[in-house]
Amino acid sequence: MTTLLDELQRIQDDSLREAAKAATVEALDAVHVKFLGRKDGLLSKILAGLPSLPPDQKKELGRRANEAKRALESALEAKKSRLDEDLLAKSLAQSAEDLTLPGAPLLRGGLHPLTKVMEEITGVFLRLGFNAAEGPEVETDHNNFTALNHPPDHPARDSHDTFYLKNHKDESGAPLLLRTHTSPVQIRYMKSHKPPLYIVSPGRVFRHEAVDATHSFVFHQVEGLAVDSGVSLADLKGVLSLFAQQLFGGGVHVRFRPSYFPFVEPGLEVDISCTLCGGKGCRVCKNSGWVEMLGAGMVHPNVLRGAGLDPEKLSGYAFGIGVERVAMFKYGVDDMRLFYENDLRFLRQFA
Amino acid sequence: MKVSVNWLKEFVDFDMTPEELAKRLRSLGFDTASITTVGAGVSGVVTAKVESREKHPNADKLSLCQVFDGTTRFRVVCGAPNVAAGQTVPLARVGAKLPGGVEIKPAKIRGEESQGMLCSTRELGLGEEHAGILVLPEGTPLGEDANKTLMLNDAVLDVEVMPNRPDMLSHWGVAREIAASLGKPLRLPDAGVPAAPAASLADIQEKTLCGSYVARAFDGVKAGPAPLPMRLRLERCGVRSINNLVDATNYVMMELGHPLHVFDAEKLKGGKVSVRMSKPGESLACLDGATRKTDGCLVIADAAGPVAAAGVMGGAASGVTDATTRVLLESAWFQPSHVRQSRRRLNVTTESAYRFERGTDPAMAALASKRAAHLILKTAGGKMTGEQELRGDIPAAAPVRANPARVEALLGFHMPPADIQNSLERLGFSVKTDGADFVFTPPPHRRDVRETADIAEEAGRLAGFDRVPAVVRAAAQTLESPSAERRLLTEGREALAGFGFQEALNYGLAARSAWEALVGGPAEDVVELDNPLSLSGDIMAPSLLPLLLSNVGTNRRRGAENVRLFESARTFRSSGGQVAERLCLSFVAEGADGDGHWKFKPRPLEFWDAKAWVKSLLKGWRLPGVKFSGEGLPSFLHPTQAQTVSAGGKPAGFFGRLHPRRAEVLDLSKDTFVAELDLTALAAVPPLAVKHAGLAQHPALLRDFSLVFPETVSWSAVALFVMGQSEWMEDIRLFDVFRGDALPAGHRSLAFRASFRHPERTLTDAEAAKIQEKILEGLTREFKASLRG
Repeated sequence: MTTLLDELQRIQDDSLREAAKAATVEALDAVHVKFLGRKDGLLSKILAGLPSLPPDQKKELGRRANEAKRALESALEAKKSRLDEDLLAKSLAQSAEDLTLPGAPLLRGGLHPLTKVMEEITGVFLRLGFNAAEGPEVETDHNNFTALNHPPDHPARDSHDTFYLKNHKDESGAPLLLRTHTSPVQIRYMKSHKPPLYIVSPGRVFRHEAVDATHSFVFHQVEGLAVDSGVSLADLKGVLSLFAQQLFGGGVHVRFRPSYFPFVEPGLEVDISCTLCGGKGCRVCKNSGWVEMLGAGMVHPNVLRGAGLDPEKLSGYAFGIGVERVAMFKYGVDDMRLFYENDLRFLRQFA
Repeated sequence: MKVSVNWLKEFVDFDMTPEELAKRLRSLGFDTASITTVGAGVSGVVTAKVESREKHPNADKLSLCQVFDGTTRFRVVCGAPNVAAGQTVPLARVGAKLPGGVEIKPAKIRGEESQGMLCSTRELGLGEEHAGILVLPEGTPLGEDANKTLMLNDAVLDVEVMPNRPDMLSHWGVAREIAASLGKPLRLPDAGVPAAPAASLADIQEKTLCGSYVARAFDGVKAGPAPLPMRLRLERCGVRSINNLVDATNYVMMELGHPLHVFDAEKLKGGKVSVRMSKPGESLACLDGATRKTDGCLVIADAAGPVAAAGVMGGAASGVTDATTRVLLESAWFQPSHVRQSRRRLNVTTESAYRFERGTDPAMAALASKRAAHLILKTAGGKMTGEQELRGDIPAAAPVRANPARVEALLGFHMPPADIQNSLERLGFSVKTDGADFVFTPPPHRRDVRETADIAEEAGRLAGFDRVPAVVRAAAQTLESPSAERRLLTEGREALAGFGFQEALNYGLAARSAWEALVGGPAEDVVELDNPLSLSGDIMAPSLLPLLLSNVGTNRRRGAENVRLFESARTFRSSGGQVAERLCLSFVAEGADGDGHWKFKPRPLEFWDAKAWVKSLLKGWRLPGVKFSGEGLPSFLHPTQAQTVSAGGKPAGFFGRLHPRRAEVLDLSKDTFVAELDLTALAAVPPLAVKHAGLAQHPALLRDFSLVFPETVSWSAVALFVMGQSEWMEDIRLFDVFRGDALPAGHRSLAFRASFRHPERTLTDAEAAKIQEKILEGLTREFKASLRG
């Protein structure tokens, strides 16, 4: 009995030692065959010989032999799983690639810088509760000029060199034209809506003039109009300050200077403090610390009257922001023509 | 308007640098485009006479001059070719300073001592002329400081004057504004003239067009060069000097802002002029050499016909010359809009018309006439033989009633009534109170001030708009959703950017020739410009594609590959005399689906890419019922690899491969794909409402089909038919198209997977088999399909 138990103990010790020593799955399999092989396994043989033993020995040896079998099985399993992990880790390490190589191709386009700026400007006013309005690019002389207090034969029309259409006339027989500003939208909106009204109108406009670094026969404006009771220049300065701060940064200031646009009175030129030099003076602001940004003013009483509104009861402000001008200042573009060349090397810088 | 600072100082005292003056004007509403200094920092330069000139002994191009400044004689070496004995010239003596910090020192030039320098125009900072020394008029006193003689130490401001302020188109006008701003007195120029007998020199026949006509006759005048100071000032303001008579009128125009005209009275037929409308067929040989028809224009006429187009330009025949001895001086007020019409009819711009059409001060005609008469008598001698002042109709300047509280309400900052009154009084308005209101009477030169808003501007200008605070008020109104067009536009361009397209922006004008080349024939429905800047933009863009294709070409030539561009803008077509403006979203893609890659090789773009982009856009917009077809394709598209798009039965665009011939002509890749979607048409389609449909609880059964069809059977017909075969059909997906020798000629095999699903239970295999059977039978019956063997 003692000999048999000793023998079992020795086999168990051998089996565990060999399992621990096995360095490959194959070696592990060999350990399994050597001790647990169905026919010749050393442990299997002991277990197979149990029935022929006397009952008192059978019980004790059977318990111990089964323990030894379970211990070996669990050791083999643990070892196998560790070898598997090692193997996987090794194969993963072998498949390492140069991860700095470019990723799969995925084309990404982008919006035009003028679209981005126009959306940004419009967004400021939409968030303030303005509604968006749009109008046609082919306009009548009445909406583009007369209703905006540019009577026929008024010299103010000289500053708007105009494209006219051939063979297309309005109801009064005047040739149709390409709008020279987005302001006709004011007229259309005032005639179709009742105050209070607050609108912002982005769009494309046309001037009959030669193209150079700072002029273009096509450019974009964002028009703003508010008509309500008790509207003053202070309200105008409020929204324009918010606009300037949103586009150019929190510390930007807005300055009003008197100017002349026939459809507003008082008419103003609006400057913003130069963000490039912080107002100290530089090349861009011509050492003044201020940059001319847009035209604005209080809606001219003639414009209100023309739209059937009473200037004694209502007042309003209007502004027209030049999108190209804002984009040039914001992005440091010094030639307006770049916006219309559609050179991908330029456009991709804004995507 | 070019303004000389020294000239301004004749009318108002101020102590500001030119830069400070420009800043002050800017704050009043007048920008300065440029500041040019004239002879800044000159000292020690005096007038001197060249008494003798000899050749320099050691240099061919130099001369030795003896010059005399009235007290001392100097020996000066001079290099100017025009120097000659007898001239009076500016002499920079030793110790003199010239612009740019140059100081004159005693020098030895080629062995000869030089005690100073004779100066050119440029050396004195007066202008660019440097070919020789500046020769002063005979009779210039010797030893006079050149600063005085040449009115140096001046600056010229180019002031931008808006059309509403013609009163600022003169030195006196600018001085008046500065005086108001500074609260300083304003001086008038000397307009003293001896009395002259009343005479019948003119008559006004068109009293509404000519509100005032002041005529003065002179005899015994001597035409010749105007005095140097007058010439210098005119030149500084950009006016060419002609002679003392013409210069006197121009001088008064630049000084008082009132245009005048001088006639050679000798050449006026009948000795008298009449202000009348031109008779049909009349014309005028103008001072600039051109002969113009004067139909519809107010003219000044003598017994023989027009001698001047009123307010615009004089006639050559009656103009003054160096031989003129008798003069008729005209100072008038012409109605602004008529002068503008005349000027446009005559197709000419003049300084005179520029002022008249903006509106001159009616009260100024008399003063300007006297001032010019004063200058003529002073510079050309002679005597005044008669004068006549005629009046037509001048619209009276209406008083403006304004409530100070309303003025304040517009300005948005506190301005007490007394301050408003004071500001307007400084600007020359007379102010009366009437109850709570003020009644302002504008001075005659401020016709632009007509109501409360104008008063607010004047008060604000003088107070400074810096006083306006920033207040944010809520926009109290009903909010509107973006328009359908705007929604399609915003979502569409974001989607295209995601597909790799870069947005482009073009000018919106196109060349008719390029469009006709693209569509292959005359274009009837384009919108033509009456006054195009060039033939490359003679029509409004009928499509965005011509310009986008040209953008693609430009980028390819600059080395870009696989270019993808899109644009969204209006397009224009003419129909029945109306212009149809439609917002379009268009794209062009060419080349491959990616640039060269180390692992994933690019493949050429195909029709299916274009179709996928268009389908994806429509899906994102949730527009149902948009149909594709091969009908009505533009000729610049590939005849079998392109489709038109329609929505609600109306055309809404197209997409597909560019016709290979067009690609070749435009030097583009053969794999160029385009699309143009009409957002205006698509905006009319109501988008599908978003509604949650629940998630399927029971599994779908999948059945694969592989059938051979005649080529004439379209996939969409098959798919539509299959989807209609059972209420439990859920989806159909094509996974293979095969053509080959194994199939009968003119046939192809389509392999697709159909899925069936019941909403409330799991379908049985038997049910699926029944549907499958029905589909097979139907396809065989309807489309002559057969199982692929």
